[in-house]
Amino acid sequence: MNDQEIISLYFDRNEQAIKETDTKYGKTCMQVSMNILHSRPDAEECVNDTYLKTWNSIPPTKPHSLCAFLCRIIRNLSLNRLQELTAAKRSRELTVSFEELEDCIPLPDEQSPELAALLESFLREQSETDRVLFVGRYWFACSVEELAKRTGLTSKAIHMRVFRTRERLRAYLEGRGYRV
Amino acid sequence: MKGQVAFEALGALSDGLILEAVEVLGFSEDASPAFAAPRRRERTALSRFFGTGWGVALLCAVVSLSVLGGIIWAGQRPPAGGPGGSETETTDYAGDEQTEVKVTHGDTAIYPQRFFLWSMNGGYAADGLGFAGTAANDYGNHPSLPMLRYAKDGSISPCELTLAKGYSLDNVQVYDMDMKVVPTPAYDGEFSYERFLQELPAGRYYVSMQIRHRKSGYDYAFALEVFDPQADTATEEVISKEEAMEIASAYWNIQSGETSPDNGFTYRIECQKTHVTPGGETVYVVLWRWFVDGHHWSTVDVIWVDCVTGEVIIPYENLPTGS
Repeated sequence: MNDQEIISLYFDRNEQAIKETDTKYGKTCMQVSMNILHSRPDAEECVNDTYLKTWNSIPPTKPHSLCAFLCRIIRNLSLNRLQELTAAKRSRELTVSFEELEDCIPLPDEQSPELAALLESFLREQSETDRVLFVGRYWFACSVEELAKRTGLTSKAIHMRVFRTRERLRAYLEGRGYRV
Repeated sequence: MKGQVAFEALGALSDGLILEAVEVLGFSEDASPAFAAPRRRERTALSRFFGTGWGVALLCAVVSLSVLGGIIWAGQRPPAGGPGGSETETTDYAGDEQTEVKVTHGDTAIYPQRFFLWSMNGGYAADGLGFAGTAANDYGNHPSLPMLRYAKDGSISPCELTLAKGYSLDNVQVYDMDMKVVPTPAYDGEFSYERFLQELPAGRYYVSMQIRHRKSGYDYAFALEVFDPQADTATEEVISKEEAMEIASAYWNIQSGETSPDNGFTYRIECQKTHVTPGGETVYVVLWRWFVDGHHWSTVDVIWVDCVTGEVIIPYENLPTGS
Protein backbone atom coordinates (compact mmCIF):
# COMPACT_ATOMS: atom_id res chain seq x y z
CA MET A 1 0.00 0.00 0.00
CA ASN A 2 1.46 3.37 -0.90
CA ASP A 3 1.57 6.38 1.41
CA GLN A 4 -1.43 8.12 -0.13
CA GLU A 5 -3.60 5.05 0.35
CA ILE A 6 -2.52 4.75 3.98
CA ILE A 7 -3.21 8.45 4.57
CA SER A 8 -6.65 7.97 3.05
CA LEU A 9 -7.34 5.29 5.64
CA TYR A 10 -6.46 7.80 8.35
CA PHE A 11 -8.83 10.32 6.84
CA ASP A 12 -11.55 7.63 6.76
CA ARG A 13 -10.75 6.90 10.43
CA ASN A 14 -10.17 3.31 9.44
CA GLU A 15 -8.05 1.53 12.06
CA GLN A 16 -6.45 -0.49 9.29
CA ALA A 17 -4.33 2.63 8.80
CA ILE A 18 -2.34 1.81 11.94
CA LYS A 19 -1.74 -1.76 10.82
CA GLU A 20 -0.63 -0.67 7.38
CA THR A 21 1.66 1.96 8.91
CA ASP A 22 3.21 -0.65 11.17
CA THR A 23 3.67 -3.06 8.28
CA LYS A 24 5.38 -0.51 6.10
CA TYR A 25 7.28 1.65 8.58
CA GLY A 26 7.34 -0.28 11.82
CA LYS A 27 10.96 -1.37 11.41
CA THR A 28 12.07 2.09 10.40
CA CYS A 29 10.45 3.67 13.44
CA MET A 30 11.91 1.03 15.70
CA GLN A 31 15.35 1.61 14.22
CA VAL A 32 15.20 5.35 14.80
CA SER A 33 14.01 4.96 18.36
CA MET A 34 16.52 2.24 19.23
CA ASN A 35 19.36 4.43 17.96
CA ILE A 36 18.41 7.02 20.56
CA LEU A 37 17.13 4.96 23.46
CA HIS A 38 19.05 1.66 23.10
CA SER A 39 16.25 0.00 25.00
CA ARG A 40 13.72 -2.18 23.25
CA PRO A 41 10.89 -1.71 25.78
CA ASP A 42 11.28 2.09 25.68
CA ALA A 43 11.55 2.06 21.91
CA GLU A 44 8.40 -0.05 21.55
CA GLU A 45 6.58 2.37 23.79
CA CYS A 46 7.72 5.29 21.64
CA VAL A 47 6.64 3.49 18.48
CA ASN A 48 3.19 2.93 19.92
CA ASP A 49 3.01 6.56 20.99
CA THR A 50 4.02 7.52 17.47
CA TYR A 51 1.11 5.62 15.99
CA LEU A 52 -1.26 7.26 18.47
CA LYS A 53 0.10 10.70 17.71
CA THR A 54 -0.14 10.01 13.98
CA TRP A 55 -3.76 8.87 14.39
CA ASN A 56 -4.52 12.07 16.28
CA SER A 57 -2.68 14.26 13.75
CA ILE A 58 -4.11 12.90 10.51
CA PRO A 59 -6.45 14.59 9.75
CA PRO A 60 -6.20 17.55 9.61
CA THR A 61 -2.51 17.19 8.78
CA LYS A 62 -1.87 15.61 5.43
CA PRO A 63 1.85 14.88 5.21
CA HIS A 64 3.65 14.84 1.90
CA SER A 65 5.77 11.95 3.03
CA LEU A 66 4.37 9.60 5.65
CA CYS A 67 7.84 8.14 6.28
CA ALA A 68 9.43 11.49 7.08
CA PHE A 69 6.38 12.47 9.15
CA LEU A 70 6.71 9.32 11.25
CA CYS A 71 10.49 9.70 11.57
CA ARG A 72 10.10 13.21 12.95
CA ILE A 73 7.51 12.12 15.48
CA ILE A 74 9.44 9.08 16.67
CA ARG A 75 12.66 11.07 16.89
CA ASN A 76 11.07 13.79 19.00
CA LEU A 77 9.26 11.30 21.22
CA SER A 78 12.46 9.32 21.70
CA LEU A 79 14.42 12.44 22.61
CA ASN A 80 11.72 13.43 25.11
CA ARG A 81 11.79 9.94 26.53
CA LEU A 82 15.56 10.07 26.77
CA GLN A 83 15.35 13.25 28.82
CA GLU A 84 12.92 11.56 31.19
CA LEU A 85 15.33 8.72 31.83
CA THR A 86 18.02 9.14 34.48
CA ALA A 87 21.55 10.27 33.47
CA ALA A 88 22.93 6.82 34.36
CA LYS A 89 20.70 5.18 31.81
CA ARG A 90 21.60 7.62 29.09
CA SER A 91 23.33 6.14 26.11
CA ARG A 92 27.01 6.92 25.93
CA GLU A 93 26.83 6.63 22.17
CA LEU A 94 24.29 9.42 21.96
CA THR A 95 26.38 11.55 24.31
CA VAL A 96 29.27 11.11 21.92
CA SER A 97 27.06 12.27 19.04
CA PHE A 98 26.09 15.38 21.03
CA GLU A 99 29.70 16.19 21.84
CA GLU A 100 30.78 15.84 18.24
CA LEU A 101 28.31 18.54 17.23
CA GLU A 102 29.46 21.02 19.84
CA ASP A 103 32.39 22.33 17.84
CA CYS A 104 30.54 22.91 14.62
CA ILE A 105 27.33 24.67 15.63
CA PRO A 106 26.93 28.17 17.04
CA LEU A 107 26.46 29.08 20.66
CA PRO A 108 22.84 28.69 21.81
CA ASP A 109 22.24 32.43 22.01
CA GLU A 110 23.20 32.81 18.37
CA GLN A 111 20.87 30.21 16.95
CA SER A 112 18.15 31.58 14.72
CA PRO A 113 15.44 30.25 12.43
CA GLU A 114 17.87 30.81 9.57
CA LEU A 115 20.26 28.27 11.07
CA ALA A 116 18.00 25.38 10.09
CA ALA A 117 17.88 26.69 6.50
CA LEU A 118 21.67 27.09 6.48
CA LEU A 119 22.14 23.56 7.73
CA GLU A 120 19.85 22.37 4.97
CA SER A 121 21.66 24.29 2.25
CA PHE A 122 25.05 23.17 3.59
CA LEU A 123 24.04 19.55 3.50
CA ARG A 124 22.66 19.86 -0.01
CA GLU A 125 26.09 21.06 -1.17
CA GLN A 126 27.78 17.91 0.15
CA SER A 127 28.20 14.67 -1.72
CA GLU A 128 25.47 12.12 -1.25
CA THR A 129 27.75 9.91 0.81
CA ASP A 130 28.79 12.68 3.18
CA ARG A 131 25.25 13.97 3.46
CA VAL A 132 23.75 10.58 4.22
CA LEU A 133 26.46 9.82 6.76
CA PHE A 134 25.95 13.17 8.48
CA VAL A 135 22.18 12.79 8.61
CA GLY A 136 22.51 9.17 9.66
CA ARG A 137 24.90 10.06 12.47
CA TYR A 138 23.31 13.24 13.79
CA TRP A 139 19.63 12.98 12.85
CA PHE A 140 19.07 9.25 13.15
CA ALA A 141 21.77 8.94 15.88
CA CYS A 142 23.26 5.86 14.24
CA SER A 143 26.49 4.54 15.66
CA VAL A 144 29.52 4.51 13.40
CA GLU A 145 29.43 0.72 13.39
CA GLU A 146 25.80 0.75 12.31
CA LEU A 147 26.61 3.13 9.48
CA ALA A 148 29.55 0.95 8.47
CA LYS A 149 27.31 -2.11 8.22
CA ARG A 150 24.69 -0.26 6.23
CA THR A 151 26.98 1.54 3.82
CA GLY A 152 29.82 -0.91 3.33
CA LEU A 153 32.36 1.72 4.33
CA THR A 154 34.86 1.03 7.08
CA SER A 155 34.41 2.64 10.48
CA LYS A 156 37.62 4.60 9.95
CA ALA A 157 36.38 6.00 6.66
CA ILE A 158 33.11 7.04 8.28
CA HIS A 159 34.87 8.68 11.22
CA MET A 160 37.02 10.60 8.78
CA ARG A 161 34.13 11.60 6.54
CA VAL A 162 31.85 12.90 9.30
CA PHE A 163 34.83 14.64 10.91
CA ARG A 164 35.58 16.47 7.67
CA THR A 165 31.93 17.28 7.13
CA ARG A 166 31.79 18.81 10.61
CA GLU A 167 34.91 20.83 9.79
CA ARG A 168 33.31 22.09 6.59
CA LEU A 169 30.09 22.91 8.44
CA ARG A 170 31.98 24.93 10.99
CA ALA A 171 33.77 26.86 8.25
CA TYR A 172 30.49 27.33 6.41
CA LEU A 173 28.73 28.79 9.44
CA GLU A 174 31.70 30.93 10.45
CA GLY A 175 31.80 32.29 6.91
CA ARG A 176 28.24 33.42 7.36
CA GLY A 177 28.87 35.28 10.54
CA TYR A 178 28.11 32.67 13.17
CA ARG A 179 30.46 32.21 16.08
CA VAL A 180 31.19 28.54 16.64
CA MET B 1 24.37 20.64 26.40
CA LYS B 2 25.21 22.73 23.35
CA GLY B 3 25.60 19.54 21.39
CA GLN B 4 22.19 18.33 22.45
CA VAL B 5 20.68 21.65 21.37
CA ALA B 6 22.30 21.20 17.98
CA PHE B 7 21.04 17.64 17.79
CA GLU B 8 17.53 18.84 18.42
CA ALA B 9 17.95 21.75 15.97
CA LEU B 10 18.71 19.24 13.25
CA GLY B 11 15.14 18.06 13.65
CA ALA B 12 14.11 20.82 11.24
CA LEU B 13 15.77 19.09 8.28
CA SER B 14 13.56 18.70 5.24
CA ASP B 15 11.67 15.55 4.31
CA GLY B 16 13.92 15.10 1.31
CA LEU B 17 17.10 14.69 3.37
CA ILE B 18 15.36 12.38 5.83
CA LEU B 19 13.94 10.18 3.08
CA GLU B 20 17.28 10.04 1.28
CA ALA B 21 18.97 8.73 4.40
CA VAL B 22 16.16 6.23 5.07
CA GLU B 23 16.50 4.90 1.54
CA VAL B 24 20.29 4.76 1.36
CA LEU B 25 20.78 3.37 4.86
CA GLY B 26 17.95 0.86 4.42
CA PHE B 27 16.17 1.44 7.71
CA SER B 28 13.27 -0.71 6.64
CA GLU B 29 15.55 -3.76 6.86
CA ASP B 30 15.92 -5.78 10.03
CA ALA B 31 17.70 -4.07 12.87
CA SER B 32 21.39 -4.80 12.91
CA PRO B 33 23.19 -6.76 15.62
CA ALA B 34 24.70 -3.47 16.73
CA PHE B 35 21.73 -3.13 19.05
CA ALA B 36 22.92 -6.08 21.08
CA ALA B 37 24.56 -5.12 24.33
CA PRO B 38 28.34 -5.46 24.11
CA ARG B 39 29.66 -8.72 25.47
CA ARG B 40 31.41 -8.12 28.71
CA ARG B 41 34.34 -10.38 29.32
CA GLU B 42 35.10 -11.31 32.89
CA ARG B 43 38.36 -9.77 33.96
CA THR B 44 40.70 -11.67 36.19
CA ALA B 45 42.53 -10.03 39.05
CA LEU B 46 45.63 -9.99 36.88
CA SER B 47 43.88 -8.23 34.01
CA ARG B 48 42.32 -5.78 36.46
CA PHE B 49 45.82 -5.04 37.76
CA PHE B 50 47.11 -4.49 34.25
CA GLY B 51 44.20 -2.16 33.69
CA THR B 52 45.46 0.15 36.41
CA GLY B 53 48.10 2.81 35.96
CA TRP B 54 50.74 0.82 37.85
CA GLY B 55 49.95 -2.26 35.81
CA VAL B 56 50.25 -0.34 32.57
CA ALA B 57 53.53 1.23 33.64
CA LEU B 58 54.93 -2.16 34.64
CA LEU B 59 53.84 -3.71 31.37
CA CYS B 60 55.33 -0.82 29.37
CA ALA B 61 58.63 -1.22 31.19
CA VAL B 62 58.75 -4.98 30.71
CA VAL B 63 57.89 -4.88 27.02
CA SER B 64 60.16 -1.91 26.31
CA LEU B 65 63.11 -3.65 27.93
CA SER B 66 62.28 -6.84 26.07
CA VAL B 67 62.08 -5.06 22.77
CA LEU B 68 65.31 -3.21 23.46
CA GLY B 69 66.96 -6.48 24.36
CA GLY B 70 65.68 -7.98 21.16
CA ILE B 71 67.02 -5.08 19.11
CA ILE B 72 70.44 -5.32 20.68
CA TRP B 73 70.46 -9.08 20.29
CA ALA B 74 69.29 -8.92 16.70
CA GLY B 75 71.90 -6.32 15.87
CA GLN B 76 74.61 -8.60 17.12
CA ARG B 77 73.46 -11.57 15.07
CA PRO B 78 75.39 -12.36 11.95
CA PRO B 79 73.46 -12.21 8.69
CA ALA B 80 71.38 -15.37 8.48
CA GLY B 81 71.14 -17.36 5.33
CA GLY B 82 67.77 -19.05 5.33
CA PRO B 83 67.53 -22.73 4.93
CA GLY B 84 66.14 -22.24 1.47
CA GLY B 85 69.16 -20.57 -0.08
CA SER B 86 72.67 -19.60 0.92
CA GLU B 87 72.48 -16.37 -1.08
CA THR B 88 69.74 -15.00 1.12
CA GLU B 89 70.88 -12.41 3.56
CA THR B 90 68.76 -10.83 6.19
CA THR B 91 69.57 -7.70 8.05
CA ASP B 92 67.61 -6.62 11.03
CA TYR B 93 67.84 -3.18 12.41
CA ALA B 94 65.69 -0.67 14.17
CA GLY B 95 65.03 2.04 11.66
CA ASP B 96 63.64 5.49 12.22
CA GLU B 97 60.79 6.42 14.51
CA GLN B 98 58.49 4.36 12.31
CA THR B 99 60.49 1.32 13.37
CA GLU B 100 60.90 -0.14 9.96
CA VAL B 101 62.84 -3.29 9.51
CA LYS B 102 64.50 -3.98 6.20
CA VAL B 103 65.30 -7.35 4.82
CA THR B 104 67.70 -7.83 1.96
CA HIS B 105 67.72 -10.62 -0.56
CA GLY B 106 71.13 -10.62 -2.17
CA ASP B 107 71.66 -7.03 -3.27
CA THR B 108 67.96 -6.21 -3.38
CA ALA B 109 66.32 -4.44 -0.51
CA ILE B 110 62.93 -5.90 0.17
CA TYR B 111 60.28 -3.47 1.24
CA PRO B 112 60.10 -2.79 4.91
CA GLN B 113 57.85 -4.82 7.08
CA ARG B 114 56.18 -3.17 9.94
CA PHE B 115 53.80 -4.09 12.67
CA PHE B 116 52.26 -2.21 15.52
CA LEU B 117 51.50 -3.62 18.88
CA TRP B 118 49.11 -2.04 21.27
CA SER B 119 46.76 -3.21 23.95
CA MET B 120 43.02 -3.27 23.68
CA ASN B 121 42.63 -2.61 27.38
CA GLY B 122 44.91 -0.85 29.78
CA GLY B 123 46.15 2.01 27.66
CA TYR B 124 49.53 0.61 26.77
CA ALA B 125 50.90 1.31 23.33
CA ALA B 126 54.19 0.95 21.57
CA ASP B 127 55.49 0.52 18.08
CA GLY B 128 56.75 -3.01 17.80
CA LEU B 129 59.39 -4.45 15.57
CA GLY B 130 59.20 -7.26 13.10
CA PHE B 131 62.14 -9.56 13.01
CA ALA B 132 63.26 -12.12 10.51
CA GLY B 133 64.40 -15.19 12.32
CA THR B 134 64.99 -18.79 11.69
CA ALA B 135 64.13 -20.52 14.93
CA ALA B 136 60.93 -20.70 16.89
CA ASN B 137 62.42 -19.60 20.18
CA ASP B 138 64.69 -16.80 19.03
CA TYR B 139 62.91 -14.28 21.16
CA GLY B 140 62.03 -16.36 24.14
CA ASN B 141 63.27 -13.71 26.52
CA HIS B 142 60.11 -11.67 25.94
CA PRO B 143 57.33 -14.15 25.39
CA SER B 144 54.68 -11.45 25.28
CA LEU B 145 55.92 -10.28 21.90
CA PRO B 146 54.66 -12.13 18.86
CA MET B 147 57.35 -12.92 16.38
CA LEU B 148 57.14 -12.47 12.67
CA ARG B 149 59.41 -14.14 10.23
CA TYR B 150 59.78 -14.48 6.56
CA ALA B 151 59.51 -17.77 4.78
CA LYS B 152 62.52 -19.96 4.59
CA ASP B 153 63.61 -18.79 1.17
CA GLY B 154 63.58 -15.15 2.24
CA SER B 155 60.59 -14.08 0.14
CA ILE B 156 58.01 -11.76 1.59
CA SER B 157 55.01 -13.94 1.02
CA PRO B 158 54.26 -16.08 2.91
CA CYS B 159 55.09 -14.53 6.22
CA GLU B 160 54.97 -16.78 9.22
CA LEU B 161 53.60 -15.66 12.52
CA THR B 162 54.52 -17.58 15.61
CA LEU B 163 52.77 -16.91 18.85
CA ALA B 164 54.25 -17.57 22.22
CA LYS B 165 52.58 -20.05 24.53
CA GLY B 166 49.36 -18.82 26.02
CA TYR B 167 48.40 -16.54 23.17
CA SER B 168 45.56 -17.07 20.75
CA LEU B 169 44.83 -15.33 17.52
CA ASP B 170 41.45 -13.80 16.90
CA ASN B 171 39.54 -11.21 14.93
CA VAL B 172 41.80 -11.24 11.93
CA GLN B 173 40.96 -8.72 9.26
CA VAL B 174 42.85 -7.86 6.14
CA TYR B 175 42.55 -4.49 4.46
CA ASP B 176 43.91 -3.54 1.09
CA MET B 177 45.46 -0.15 0.64
CA ASP B 178 42.10 1.25 -0.38
CA MET B 179 41.02 0.45 3.18
CA LYS B 180 38.52 -2.12 1.93
CA VAL B 181 38.15 -5.26 3.96
CA VAL B 182 39.47 -8.25 2.06
CA PRO B 183 37.60 -11.51 2.60
CA THR B 184 39.87 -13.94 4.42
CA PRO B 185 39.47 -17.66 4.71
CA ALA B 186 38.68 -19.13 8.09
CA TYR B 187 41.78 -20.01 10.02
CA ASP B 188 42.22 -22.99 12.23
CA GLY B 189 45.28 -22.28 14.27
CA GLU B 190 48.22 -20.01 14.65
CA PHE B 191 49.96 -21.21 11.53
CA SER B 192 47.04 -20.64 9.21
CA TYR B 193 48.13 -17.01 9.08
CA GLU B 194 50.81 -18.14 6.67
CA ARG B 195 48.31 -19.89 4.46
CA PHE B 196 45.92 -17.04 4.03
CA LEU B 197 48.71 -14.64 3.23
CA GLN B 198 49.70 -16.98 0.46
CA GLU B 199 46.19 -16.84 -0.92
CA LEU B 200 46.18 -13.04 -1.25
CA PRO B 201 46.73 -11.73 -4.76
CA ALA B 202 49.80 -9.62 -5.40
CA GLY B 203 49.56 -6.24 -3.78
CA ARG B 204 49.84 -4.49 -0.48
CA TYR B 205 47.78 -5.28 2.55
CA TYR B 206 47.31 -4.12 6.05
CA VAL B 207 46.42 -6.89 8.42
CA SER B 208 44.98 -6.32 11.82
CA MET B 209 44.24 -8.98 14.35
CA GLN B 210 43.73 -9.52 18.00
CA ILE B 211 46.13 -11.56 20.03
CA ARG B 212 44.76 -12.59 23.34
CA HIS B 213 46.75 -13.76 26.31
CA ARG B 214 44.51 -16.48 27.67
CA LYS B 215 45.62 -16.28 31.27
CA SER B 216 45.41 -12.56 31.85
CA GLY B 217 42.68 -11.92 29.32
CA TYR B 218 44.87 -9.11 28.02
CA ASP B 219 44.30 -8.34 24.38
CA TYR B 220 46.75 -6.95 21.87
CA ALA B 221 45.71 -5.50 18.59
CA PHE B 222 48.24 -6.21 15.97
CA ALA B 223 48.78 -4.81 12.51
CA LEU B 224 51.06 -6.01 9.79
CA GLU B 225 51.84 -4.61 6.39
CA VAL B 226 52.46 -7.28 3.85
CA PHE B 227 54.34 -6.32 0.77
CA ASP B 228 54.85 -8.22 -2.42
CA PRO B 229 57.76 -6.58 -4.22
CA GLN B 230 56.74 -8.12 -7.53
CA ALA B 231 53.48 -6.19 -7.40
CA ASP B 232 55.20 -2.85 -7.11
CA THR B 233 56.71 -2.40 -10.51
CA ALA B 234 57.02 1.31 -10.68
CA THR B 235 57.64 2.60 -14.14
CA GLU B 236 58.94 6.12 -14.29
CA GLU B 237 59.06 7.74 -10.86
CA VAL B 238 59.17 11.41 -11.60
CA ILE B 239 57.89 12.41 -8.16
CA SER B 240 60.05 11.46 -5.20
CA LYS B 241 58.63 10.18 -1.95
CA GLU B 242 59.45 13.48 -0.28
CA GLU B 243 57.70 15.42 -3.05
CA ALA B 244 54.64 13.19 -2.68
CA MET B 245 54.54 14.01 1.01
CA GLU B 246 54.78 17.72 0.23
CA ILE B 247 51.90 17.39 -2.21
CA ALA B 248 49.86 15.57 0.42
CA SER B 249 50.77 18.17 3.03
CA ALA B 250 49.49 20.93 0.75
CA TYR B 251 46.37 18.93 -0.10
CA TRP B 252 45.43 18.44 3.53
CA ASN B 253 46.90 21.78 4.59
CA ILE B 254 48.76 20.21 7.48
CA GLN B 255 52.38 19.54 8.43
CA SER B 256 53.84 16.62 10.33
CA GLY B 257 54.24 17.60 13.94
CA GLU B 258 51.27 19.95 14.00
CA THR B 259 48.45 19.24 16.39
CA SER B 260 44.75 19.07 15.74
CA PRO B 261 42.89 22.19 16.93
CA ASP B 262 39.99 19.98 18.02
CA ASN B 263 41.67 17.43 20.18
CA GLY B 264 45.40 18.20 20.31
CA PHE B 265 46.38 14.96 18.58
CA THR B 266 49.73 15.20 16.81
CA TYR B 267 49.70 14.81 13.05
CA ARG B 268 52.09 12.75 11.00
CA ILE B 269 52.26 12.31 7.24
CA GLU B 270 53.55 8.95 6.15
CA CYS B 271 54.42 7.97 2.64
CA GLN B 272 54.47 4.30 1.84
CA LYS B 273 55.98 2.91 -1.26
CA THR B 274 54.36 2.60 -4.60
CA HIS B 275 51.19 0.85 -5.48
CA VAL B 276 49.74 -0.04 -8.84
CA THR B 277 46.09 0.97 -9.01
CA PRO B 278 43.45 -1.00 -10.84
CA GLY B 279 43.71 1.66 -13.53
CA GLY B 280 47.38 0.91 -14.02
CA GLU B 281 48.75 4.06 -12.46
CA THR B 282 51.72 3.82 -10.15
CA VAL B 283 51.06 5.89 -7.08
CA TYR B 284 52.49 6.66 -3.69
CA VAL B 285 50.15 5.78 -0.85
CA VAL B 286 50.26 8.66 1.60
CA LEU B 287 48.62 8.56 4.98
CA TRP B 288 47.56 11.37 7.29
CA ARG B 289 47.76 9.94 10.77
CA TRP B 290 47.27 11.30 14.23
CA PHE B 291 48.37 10.10 17.65
CA VAL B 292 45.21 9.27 19.55
CA ASP B 293 45.17 10.03 23.28
CA GLY B 294 48.92 9.42 23.53
CA HIS B 295 48.06 5.81 22.80
CA HIS B 296 48.39 4.83 19.18
CA TRP B 297 48.62 6.19 15.67
CA SER B 298 45.38 6.15 13.76
CA THR B 299 44.75 7.00 10.14
CA VAL B 300 42.66 10.10 9.42
CA ASP B 301 42.85 10.01 5.66
CA VAL B 302 44.66 8.33 2.82
CA ILE B 303 45.38 9.58 -0.69
CA TRP B 304 47.32 8.39 -3.66
CA VAL B 305 49.85 10.62 -5.38
CA ASP B 306 50.57 9.71 -8.96
CA CYS B 307 54.27 8.98 -9.28
CA VAL B 308 54.49 10.54 -12.72
CA THR B 309 52.12 13.48 -12.67
CA GLY B 310 51.91 14.24 -8.94
CA GLU B 311 48.13 14.21 -9.20
CA VAL B 312 46.21 13.51 -6.01
CA ILE B 313 43.80 10.61 -6.35
CA ILE B 314 41.14 9.84 -3.73
CA PRO B 315 41.14 6.05 -3.40
CA TYR B 316 37.80 5.74 -1.57
CA GLU B 317 35.70 8.04 -3.75
CA ASN B 318 33.78 5.29 -5.52
CA LEU B 319 33.07 3.07 -2.54
CA PRO B 320 29.53 1.64 -2.49
CA THR B 321 27.02 3.51 -0.34
CA GLY B 322 23.76 1.70 -0.95
CA SER B 323 22.22 -0.71 1.53
